[in-house]
Amino acid sequence: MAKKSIFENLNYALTYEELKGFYHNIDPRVKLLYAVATIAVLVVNDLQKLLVILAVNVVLTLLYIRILNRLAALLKSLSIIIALIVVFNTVISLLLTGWRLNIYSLFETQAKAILRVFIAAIAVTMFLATTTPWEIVQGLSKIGLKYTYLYTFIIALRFIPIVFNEMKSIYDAQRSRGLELEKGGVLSRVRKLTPIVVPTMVCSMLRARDLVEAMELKGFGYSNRRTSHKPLKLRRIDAGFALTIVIVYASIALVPVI
Amino acid sequence: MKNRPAVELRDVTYYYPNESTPALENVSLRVSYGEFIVVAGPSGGGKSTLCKILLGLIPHLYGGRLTGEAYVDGVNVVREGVKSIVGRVGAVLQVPENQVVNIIVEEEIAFGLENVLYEPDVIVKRVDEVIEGLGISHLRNRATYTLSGGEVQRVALASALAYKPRILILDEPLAHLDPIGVRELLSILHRLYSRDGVTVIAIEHRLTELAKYATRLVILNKRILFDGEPERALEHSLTLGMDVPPIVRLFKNIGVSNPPLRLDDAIKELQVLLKNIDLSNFNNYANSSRDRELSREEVIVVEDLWYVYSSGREALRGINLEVRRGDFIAIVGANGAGKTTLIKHFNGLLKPSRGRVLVFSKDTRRHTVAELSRHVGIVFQNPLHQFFEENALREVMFTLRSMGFNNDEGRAMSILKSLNLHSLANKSPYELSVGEQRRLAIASVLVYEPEVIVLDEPTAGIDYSLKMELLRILLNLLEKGKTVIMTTHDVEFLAHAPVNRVVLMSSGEVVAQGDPREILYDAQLLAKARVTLPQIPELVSMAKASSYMKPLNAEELASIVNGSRCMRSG
Repeated sequence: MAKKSIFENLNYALTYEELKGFYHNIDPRVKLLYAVATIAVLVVNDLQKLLVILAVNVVLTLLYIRILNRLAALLKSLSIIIALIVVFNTVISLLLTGWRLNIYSLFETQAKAILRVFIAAIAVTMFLATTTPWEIVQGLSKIGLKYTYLYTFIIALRFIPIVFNEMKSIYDAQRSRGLELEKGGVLSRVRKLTPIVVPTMVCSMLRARDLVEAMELKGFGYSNRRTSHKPLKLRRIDAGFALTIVIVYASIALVPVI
Repeated sequence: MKNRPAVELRDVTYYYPNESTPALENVSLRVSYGEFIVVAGPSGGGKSTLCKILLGLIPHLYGGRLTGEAYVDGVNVVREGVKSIVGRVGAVLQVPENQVVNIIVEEEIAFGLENVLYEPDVIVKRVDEVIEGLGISHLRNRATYTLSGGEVQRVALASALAYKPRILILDEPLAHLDPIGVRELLSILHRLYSRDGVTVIAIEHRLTELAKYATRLVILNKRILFDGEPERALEHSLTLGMDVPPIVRLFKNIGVSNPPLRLDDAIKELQVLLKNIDLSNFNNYANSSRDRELSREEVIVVEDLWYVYSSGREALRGINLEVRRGDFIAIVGANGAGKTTLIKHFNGLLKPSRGRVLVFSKDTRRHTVAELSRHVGIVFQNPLHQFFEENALREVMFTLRSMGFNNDEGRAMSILKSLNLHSLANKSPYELSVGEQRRLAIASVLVYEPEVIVLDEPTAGIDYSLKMELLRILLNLLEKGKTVIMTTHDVEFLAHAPVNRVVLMSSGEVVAQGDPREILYDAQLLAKARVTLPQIPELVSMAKASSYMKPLNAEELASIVNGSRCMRSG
């Protein structure tokens, strides 16, 4: 089996999954709250507290166990970045302290950094993999943002994989005509990108034109507001979930360290 | 009001911005409610322009100069623009993939209704209805980017139908469908027209399957050249070099006036004709193989090739194939059968997951794409995927240079000349017509004279006369001793191309390979690969004549019938 590239892993981890599970039914606003609150609570600067937050999030994944595959893919694609953070942090701390650092505190800083990435990864993956962009737009437009702007986000999400695939086809076509990106110095390599960049832009512009026509024909921008086939309603389970998250996070953040 | 037409164009002339020749000239057209009308015509004849005028996109979005009047469902679309027809007219434009805005099918179908402020319960009801009506409930919660081309089109159609429009306008709906997909879509359109009374306006030049459903056919080449019953239009369009159902061409060649459009009628006619023929005594096409004298030299050898995508999908499963010098091979199968994945192994763009591919005895795993491309030139489906230079000549020179030849302008010009492009050498590739772009893409591969030329779906999106032009180019290459491989699901083109071997693929496997007369007459085998019989083999099979003759196209069958007639009279 061919190895998945970083991009493929990332794409797999963050795109909406067609299946149904507990989180698919939660109100998108509540899920957004969960993701934002999780990232916010990461300001706590205590290893034990961070471990508790991780534990809470791990428990939350139990409600939708399939997420673990995606999480693994995401962490795999982030592994290089995580490694870079660790190296960078270590070097910086060593430089700042003039090479007189105690090993324990060095380890602690690294562990905290990694924990933060892990926890944020769980929350973000959970949100994006179980919420359709349309639901995100619904949620955000309830908060008062205008749907015509929000749709740019949906369109970007929808067309990024398509343009990415098209770029692969263009690369294949040009390689078949003898283009070799691997050869030559940095400057000549950059220059060699023209045969890929130009067709990609032209094809994307043609796509954009088609899309504009289709959206006009479907009445996009017809009115300042839209109706919805699935109006959002905050149910008891949504409120309960939101409340639980807030209470748990608040108590973790506020309880003094023993 | 009662007799208000669905569509009325009065003397419409239109110039695109900065153009001095009109795209449409004095076009007048009146379509009544309840018609199923097909607008056909050559590539570049203004079909899509007409469609965009009807939808209020031209001149609203495009600018340019338009004179005359256009009314759709009683609305002056030229004056009111696209907003005025939203919700009244359903539209499916070319490339359905680009028209889908949302990520989930259900959301996409509801999208248009939400924009024009339908109430939630009405939207839900409408969505349920169209999903039911088009038989796509299995797609309801799917992500749109995981769908096949045919499925995406079905979704685009569903979102157009959610408005319950009285008029449905489709621009080249058959362009990217495989043969079974074409039949499925046409039966849906026929049902909408006959059961629900929807006025269908289809802009399409592939008439073989479509012609029999139309109540009226309009032939457009900047002006309206014909407007009337399909039966009469087809005779007319033969002289224009347009795509005409092979059975029509057959009976015209035999000299039957009023050729039948439906296969059922054609079968009866053919049986009558065949009764008068002495079957034992003609130059038949029964088993005359197209296998020419070929050299035994193997240029490409594929041994137990498996290819697995990173997603885990097995795209190729144990392919074995030998290509000899001078072969003309067609790799045939439905969309998604693995045809393109297979040919990408011929110059090393993809490397086998298992098994091996030898190109002139070189193992592709150990050689770069650049090395292998010297021997095997691949022309991909979309010419726009390769153009980036200022003009056509430089486009050809780019390949020549990157293949390690010197800046040999003479060589580049001579290849342009051989493809009749030399007068366009200084034009931008984007200014060329569809047919010229396709030829330029071929030229930029032929210029360095690879021994093997591979074409991926070369007939996609081009009309009949351009297909015949392509065929002449391919035959020319074969005469020069080149090896030609093409992938296709265009069975009618295949019936005209003198391939010596058909390789039939389905779900990543070769289900059969051999003489085209065997394979193109094997309905069961073709069905397995989601491909239909070409029309003439279907006709001959249904007339129960395939045991003593196997013509592949109208010309072959006509010559059998005419030949034996001559014999009788002589």
